[in-house]
Amino acid sequence: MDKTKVLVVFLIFFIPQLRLISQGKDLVSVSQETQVLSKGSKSIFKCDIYYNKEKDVIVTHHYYPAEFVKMSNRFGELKIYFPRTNTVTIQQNQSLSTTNELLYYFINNKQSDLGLSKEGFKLTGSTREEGLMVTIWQAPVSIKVIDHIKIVFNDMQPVYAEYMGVDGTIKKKIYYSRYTDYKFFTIPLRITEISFESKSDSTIRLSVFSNVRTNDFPDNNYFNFKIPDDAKISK
Amino acid sequence: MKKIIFLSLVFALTAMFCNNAKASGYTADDRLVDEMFAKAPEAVNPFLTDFTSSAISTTAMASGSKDAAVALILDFFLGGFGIHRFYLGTEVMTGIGYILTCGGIFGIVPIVDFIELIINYNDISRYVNNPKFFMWN
Repeated sequence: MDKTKVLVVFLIFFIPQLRLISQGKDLVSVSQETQVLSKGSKSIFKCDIYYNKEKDVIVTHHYYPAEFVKMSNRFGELKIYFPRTNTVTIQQNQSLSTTNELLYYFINNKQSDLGLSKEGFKLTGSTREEGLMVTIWQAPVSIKVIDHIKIVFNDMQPVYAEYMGVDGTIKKKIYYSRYTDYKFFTIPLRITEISFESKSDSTIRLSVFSNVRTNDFPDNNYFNFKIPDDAKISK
Repeated sequence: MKKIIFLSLVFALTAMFCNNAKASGYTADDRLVDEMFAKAPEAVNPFLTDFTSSAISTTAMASGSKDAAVALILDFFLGGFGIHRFYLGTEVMTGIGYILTCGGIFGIVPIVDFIELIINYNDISRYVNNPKFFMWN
């Protein structure tokens, strides 16, 4: 066999392998279970998230308590498809872009400010506290209810966020924990969020992520999910 | 000598406790949170039961072709962007207000919207085409 034939055979077999390796890096799926505790009772929500890094497309398959599929892209196009009624809701707004989703920041290793600078927040101070980095982000003038946000980092990963209102009361606390390293990114598998509606009332939202996969997707079509052509548009 | 060692030990333990006490302000008590969720009953609301039933489009949930279950889902997952308000019908500025206040005053308004939608699940007509930022007002 001459060199050309060897090269052709090599390319035929090797190039698809490269493509597969690349796809493995670009595709991430995560299962999410969220519980909300409010006024003494809880609500549970479950979904699987499919993120195509290359296209910046996120497909979320919600299956409990109701089934629907949410699709969004970097341009802020959002489609929500309800299989049971075969209807779709469409919205377009830059704030709905996948680049504003929490998972985007962690998977793309952009968790240094959690998107606050993009929203007009300015870093006004940082201190070291017991081995942790404490940063203060001043809210832009357009946000009238919040004065600043404190974000605490441990080993460059956010572990705590605190939203301080202009009235001097804490509006929200978020705890990021159970950080787990994957090959190309690190994400918190548990996020606890406490919103304070009043002095005596609060809501707790607990999100637990599991089943994080980066390259093994047997028979999964949600990465290429398409809304049926005959779906009715809900206005 | 023993006294010095004892005092050093006490100092070290105190310092360790203080460090943990300070650091604990930035970590949630997972056990306590899990206990609270374990003890709480799952909300029995139409959202959790009717959405999967076949009667969804024939009951009183729909108001002017707006479905309360859909509004609830949109509020829960996309409430910070005011998508449920767009779905129910509102002014463009209302949605922008949600975004400018970082998700409706940092997610508080969508939570109140969520509770209001659950309470008034059988008749959401007052929230349809409602131009106010606080739809319950």
